[in-house]
Amino acid sequence: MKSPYEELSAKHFWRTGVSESHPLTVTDLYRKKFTIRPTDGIGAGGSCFAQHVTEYLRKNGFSVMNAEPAPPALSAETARRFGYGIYSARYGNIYTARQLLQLAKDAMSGDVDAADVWTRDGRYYDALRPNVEPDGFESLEETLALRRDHLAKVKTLFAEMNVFIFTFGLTEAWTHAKSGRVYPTAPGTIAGEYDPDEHVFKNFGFNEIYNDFVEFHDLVRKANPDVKIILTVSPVPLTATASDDHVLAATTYSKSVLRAVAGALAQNHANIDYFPSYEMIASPFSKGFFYDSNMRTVNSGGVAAVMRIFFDQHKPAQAEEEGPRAGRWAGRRERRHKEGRRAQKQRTREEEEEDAVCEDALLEGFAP
Amino acid sequence: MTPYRVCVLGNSHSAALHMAWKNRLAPEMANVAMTFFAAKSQLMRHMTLTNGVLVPDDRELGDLLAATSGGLRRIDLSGYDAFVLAGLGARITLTALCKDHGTVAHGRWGEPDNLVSQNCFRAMLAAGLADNIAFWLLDRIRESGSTAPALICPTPLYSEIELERPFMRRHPRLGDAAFRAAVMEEGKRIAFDLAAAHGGEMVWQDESTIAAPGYTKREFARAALRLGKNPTDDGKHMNEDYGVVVLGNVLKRLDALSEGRVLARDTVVPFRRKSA
Repeated sequence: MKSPYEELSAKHFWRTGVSESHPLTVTDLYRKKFTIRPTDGIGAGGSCFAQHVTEYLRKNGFSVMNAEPAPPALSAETARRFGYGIYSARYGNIYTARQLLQLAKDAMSGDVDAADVWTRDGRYYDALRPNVEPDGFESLEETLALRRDHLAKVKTLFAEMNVFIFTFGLTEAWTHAKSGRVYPTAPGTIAGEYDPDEHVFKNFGFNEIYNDFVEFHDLVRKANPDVKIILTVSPVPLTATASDDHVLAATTYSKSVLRAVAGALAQNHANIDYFPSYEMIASPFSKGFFYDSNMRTVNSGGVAAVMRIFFDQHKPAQAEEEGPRAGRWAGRRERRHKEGRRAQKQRTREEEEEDAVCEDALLEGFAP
Repeated sequence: MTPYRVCVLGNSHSAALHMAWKNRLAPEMANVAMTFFAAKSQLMRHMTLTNGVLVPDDRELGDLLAATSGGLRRIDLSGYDAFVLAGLGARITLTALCKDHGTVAHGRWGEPDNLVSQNCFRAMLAAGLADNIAFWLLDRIRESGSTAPALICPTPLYSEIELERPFMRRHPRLGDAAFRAAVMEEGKRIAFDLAAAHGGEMVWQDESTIAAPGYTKREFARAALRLGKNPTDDGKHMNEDYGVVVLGNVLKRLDALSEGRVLARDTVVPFRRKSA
């Protein structure tokens, strides 16, 4: 009698693929859908776990784009406080697909709105990236001017990147009741003030997230038809939930939906790949070893283990045939990102891992 | 009467002060003993504080300290009534700072290539001023327990001949005196705050030496002095006349801080220039 499982390899079976395997040496967990060429410009963004991914890519010779390089005068630490060099532009953490879509729409239109500005102690904060100015802006005018400038850089980034690596972080978000604008942080956490009549909690479902990402994908592809996308899901649990569920149940819901969306997107689009960092860290496979003692933040060993799998498939030295597009922008990219690299070079890996900028961790301060 | 003992720690920019002291001021000021310790900035960091004494980590620095101080290979910080930190990287470099970056407010002098927030620009200014050997040495002085006054004389502004370079025409904002004045004023405030935070005091470049905001009069850059090298017109170093003005201000300030121990009653400050 013949079984369809008969000729499958070791990776297909839990015993050989997981029980008898080890997270630090496991093979075949990920098989790339496409190749990242050494000259490919990589755009990076997502939830705070994406910061680790971005840093590892940079350190391993990938050309992570930096559309907003830090001023050379700033130390790496200060630059980071101002949101420079964390991702490919100063957009801060992008936790939800709706936030990503909103950013892309804003970037394409160039529109800014004074309604998206929060205040605190006489300072002004860009509500859509409140953490990029540690003490806020001087004025509304400055806030909007810097946002306009930022959006122009993001537009260029989205149009020029060859590969976009995005980490889904959350399904939960706070939105503006009338405008529907979605914020990366709850009003009143960094700046602004929570008003129950004005701010609405939203827990996005599968269809909403899937559709938002497809809309983002289509929007970017209009300007950049050849862009490829690699999706990951952050294994970092929620700091707090605004849903009625226990935070553990809320985390499971959130991550399950995001994982399902990422899988479906990869299945339905030839240019979208899914990289299983979530499985490496959060599944029984790693027995929780890759979490810090708070069982939430990922330790440096976990990040290294994940990236080993990634680099096993995407080798920086693995030069593929260079397309005209890659060659065209490689020189520009080199010039544009030289300053950013200089500012980054003194930081140690440990410092970067400890310093991941996660606004949602601020919610811890509101715990009873 | 015990002379007022001043320790000058500096890099190549201390040469102008040294010559001004040796040739012009020392003969008139018997009540002040000034000891110079000078070396390249990078070398000056290679000292270890041991029991209140700055000890060079290597022979090269020891040789330079001995050559500039008249034989002292180490710096006993307890042996001085005041410290002067000359040059040593404390400066505002307008071109590097403003060539590619600017704020919304700077837009009135032309759109910057890269827009930064006012706070970020301040951080850039502060970073350039904070990261220098002068503050590192000042920290060592305070670490030793010394509470003696410590004055910081920043690196002189470039000569006004720099304003004639084609580079300035390519960056119209830098060519605008009002723009440069605004940046310099902000930088000056930051520098004073930083100096105070480190337990020192800034002695800013004297207005009489400034040709235009951010730039020194060219006459002070003629036949400029450096450590152990022939006089130069590099636009970055200054001459003995400049040293006289700077040391004049330093001595005036030390006199005020020491309640009259530095200057004799009939001393005329600022001192006359050699060429006057």
